[in-house]
Amino acid sequence: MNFQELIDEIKIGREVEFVYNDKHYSITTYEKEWKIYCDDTKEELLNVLKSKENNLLINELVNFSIDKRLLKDIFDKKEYEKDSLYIL
Amino acid sequence: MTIMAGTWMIPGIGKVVVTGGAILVGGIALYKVSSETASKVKSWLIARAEAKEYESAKEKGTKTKNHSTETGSRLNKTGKKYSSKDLKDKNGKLKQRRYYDKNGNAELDIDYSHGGVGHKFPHRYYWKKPGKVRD
Repeated sequence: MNFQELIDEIKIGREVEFVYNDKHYSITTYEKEWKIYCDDTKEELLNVLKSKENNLLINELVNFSIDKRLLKDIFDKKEYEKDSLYIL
Repeated sequence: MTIMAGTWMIPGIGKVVVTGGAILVGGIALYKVSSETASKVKSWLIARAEAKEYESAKEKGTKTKNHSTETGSRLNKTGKKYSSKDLKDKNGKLKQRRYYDKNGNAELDIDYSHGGVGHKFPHRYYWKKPGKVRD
């Protein structure tokens, strides 16, 4: 799955989880917010209010980085662990 | 599938009574009405029974009769009508159960496990536009 496909899934409200650099990350919605959370470090990396077609979140994701690596590159270059990706 | 006993008004047919041992169409036994009418009545009753079983499974969170399981990374937005499907991870742990409506569009997800914070499992997501927009 590349970055654009990820965005297309988030746009319709699907949640995502994946492993990158041996850490589990999730992009999930809870009540009125979207969060990016590292399940290993218990760190909340991003918190955005829900919006129409999740545009606020998507705008943030374009420049969002994990360990100084753009999320866009992680997905476009398929650097996440292949078997770890779930689109819910 | 169970055809429920009861009385219904079927559009274009009229009053149909289903009892333990017989189906009456306007007071006449099903085997005595025309084959076209009998076929319409049977189709209507079967469709209703399918819908009832599906709604019951959805409400209870149980598997439908035509349930299936997948171990990939996601479940499709469309599937067999009135069906449910499980997404399991590579260790066999249930992550999500999805229900597909009469048109085969995803309409309900029950999430059993995923990352993030604040969630209680299992929890439900209803698709705002079945098969198109989840939340």
